Amino acid sequence: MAINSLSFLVLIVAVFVLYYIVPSLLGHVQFKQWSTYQNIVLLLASYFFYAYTDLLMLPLLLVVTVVFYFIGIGIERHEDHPLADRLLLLGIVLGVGMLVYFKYTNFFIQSFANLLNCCGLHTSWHSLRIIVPLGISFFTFRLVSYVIEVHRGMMSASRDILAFATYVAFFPCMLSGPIDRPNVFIPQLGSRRQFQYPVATDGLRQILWGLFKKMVVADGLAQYVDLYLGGGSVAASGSTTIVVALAYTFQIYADFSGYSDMAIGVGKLLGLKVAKNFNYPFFALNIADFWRRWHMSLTTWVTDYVFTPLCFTFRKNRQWGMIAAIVINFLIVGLWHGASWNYVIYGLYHGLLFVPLILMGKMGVADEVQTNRLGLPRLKDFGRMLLTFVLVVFGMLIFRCTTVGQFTHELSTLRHGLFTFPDIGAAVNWLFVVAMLMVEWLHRRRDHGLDLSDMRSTPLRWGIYLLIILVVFLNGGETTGFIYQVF
Amino acid sequence: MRQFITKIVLFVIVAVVLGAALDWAITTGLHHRTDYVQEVWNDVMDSTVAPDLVVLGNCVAAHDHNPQILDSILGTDSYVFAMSNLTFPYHYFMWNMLRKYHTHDPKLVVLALDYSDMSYREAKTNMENEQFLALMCDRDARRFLRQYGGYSWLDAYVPCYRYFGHHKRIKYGIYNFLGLKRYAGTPEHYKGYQGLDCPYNGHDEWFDGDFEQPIEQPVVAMLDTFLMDCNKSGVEVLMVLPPIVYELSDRVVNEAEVYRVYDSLASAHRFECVHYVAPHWLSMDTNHFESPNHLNKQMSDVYTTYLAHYIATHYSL
Repeated sequence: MAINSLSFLVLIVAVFVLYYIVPSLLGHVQFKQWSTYQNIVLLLASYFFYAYTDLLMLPLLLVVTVVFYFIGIGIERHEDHPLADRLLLLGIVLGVGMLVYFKYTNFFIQSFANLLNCCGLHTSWHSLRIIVPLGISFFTFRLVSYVIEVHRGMMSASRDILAFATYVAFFPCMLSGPIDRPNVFIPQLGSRRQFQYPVATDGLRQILWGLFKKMVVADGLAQYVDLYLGGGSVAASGSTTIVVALAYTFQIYADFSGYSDMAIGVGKLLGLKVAKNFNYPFFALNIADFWRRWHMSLTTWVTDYVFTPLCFTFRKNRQWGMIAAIVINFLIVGLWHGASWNYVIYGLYHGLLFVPLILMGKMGVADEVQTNRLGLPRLKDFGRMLLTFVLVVFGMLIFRCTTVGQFTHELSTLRHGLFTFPDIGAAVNWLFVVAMLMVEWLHRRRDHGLDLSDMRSTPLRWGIYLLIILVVFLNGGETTGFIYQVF
Repeated sequence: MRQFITKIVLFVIVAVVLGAALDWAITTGLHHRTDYVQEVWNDVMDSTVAPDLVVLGNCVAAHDHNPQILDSILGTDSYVFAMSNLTFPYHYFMWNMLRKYHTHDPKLVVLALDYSDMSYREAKTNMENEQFLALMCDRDARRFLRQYGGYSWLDAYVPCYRYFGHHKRIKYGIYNFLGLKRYAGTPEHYKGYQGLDCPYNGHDEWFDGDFEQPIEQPVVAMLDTFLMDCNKSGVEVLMVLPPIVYELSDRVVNEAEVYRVYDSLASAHRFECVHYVAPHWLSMDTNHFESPNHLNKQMSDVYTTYLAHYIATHYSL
């Protein structure tokens, strides 16, 4: 069940009715546990959603939820005792082990077999037939995050298994994130969620903006990108390769941030604050700034649980320790996406891009873009934004190529026809890219691109909504799956 | 909460009204198009033609039966009402639509069938599905397409829903509605006939392996009902199996069984079923064909002449 499908809309309406309207109709009934009732609705909806998409793996989700629930309680109960550390280790090993088993076993087998073959030792090892559970990268990170936070004493272990299970399986974020933090999300489930008109309407606007980004921008560019980077035999000139890399960068942004917008919007509709995942990353002034704005829930996760402890471990080595920490950090970010060498190279590439910033001491500096009288970025800042963007586009080309061979092939195309007129695909797709960038530039200080909460004129607001729905209708239809769903 | 729901309901009403207007504009625009499928459907639904001889069938009917030849030899008015890539339930649907919009019954129906006609095919996922979008304004078409075509009530009743993803149809519909003539399409047929003036394109991979064609009993029953209706209404039916390249016939393992069904139904209703498939000489040479199922223009004229003479000697029109 895709988040942009009609069946999902039906699910949301059903959840909304059961979640808000039933309690409000039965308002006279003295029931202290309305929050429990709402959690049951959310949990059932979440399991239904998961089962609808991946029934086979639902038992796994149930089992790990129960196991981590008790690990959390165990850690808290044995605070200041070595058993708490062992339980934390068990939680991490279980979470990471599960991820490694499902996602990386075949990668390791293949890589090791290839290595042996290179050494002249021929093996007959075969890949295992492992079905990867949907959303595993997201829910294992939520689980691991939970046991770490409990161990650190940042939150108390949840005694409410319903709330805990809802946190793990919350359906809008199940398949592609954002990766919510337990100390922020679980407490929200502890009390009854009251309907808040401005928040709910803003949620709907964010869903609409997400739909536009996914169904118009991302799906519009998908065919063009797949034509050249989909492993087919269509040859691209150097200039076309550059345009395709650009297109893929916009596609993945519109696809993933579109999903995140929809998930956050659904969260708002249900009175829950879901972690922000994107903060207009194309307006970043350097690569560190970009990663503070791109897939924020993942980058803050690895910063807190990998980078910071590593920096502490390597602190004696000063800058070089930090460089080692950031490279390891980004190798993990790369590998998190999947078991493939292109993701390793992608992580390494981004890790190395931080080296100049660390050496110049500018890694933690968050600059605000300076604008001129026209509201456009000043030339210096525009140059910095452009340089960052070019580096990101190159990284995205690494990310998209499924093999190292394909990546080197794409690079080799740059030697020919670099100054010929490129194939840009359908021009209208680029028009929508420009529209998306313009809207996001104008609303860059707001929560999302369609944050129109200060617009007083209802007809104008409704006109904008209808226009977006019309554009989605006229240009949507050739829907592709969400890119991050496979991670 | 009440304010929220009220506004949502109001917004949905506004959206549905505007959607209905857009749907009407696209559908009206599409009805003004003159491309192949649309013009044939327009001729059906606008009651602009009243032929005495009707050819029903799939693309084989459309590419093999030249009404110009039928008209000149038989001195009658003929028309080919064909829907590409679809099977008998759709021919029957076309027949019912013809009878709905035409008070005048034809004297003879030439029902062009092939080995695939006794199976179901879903219209919605069919490569020729775009012809059905504008048809949804008709109640009977809606009912049929929901029952057999794979369309849902959303397609039938939610404005614009069925057009979602059909970019070309939306574009053509709107442009035609606005009166932009260059998007009206060029007529590609003469009374439903489209000659194919191309060399044979039957590549070897088309014949890679044998296959069995399903014989669905409900479709057989539907053909039986159709023949019974025609009998009752005094409409003659001539079932024909137009030429198919012998290489393709060889691959259909149950071809003889399918044709036996046709023969037995025809004789049960005292109609005729004429075979031009292999070993008929028309089917035995790839040079006669444009593709394994379709004769080329020149041979379609030869075949139509053959058929017309057969009709002339056996039927009085």
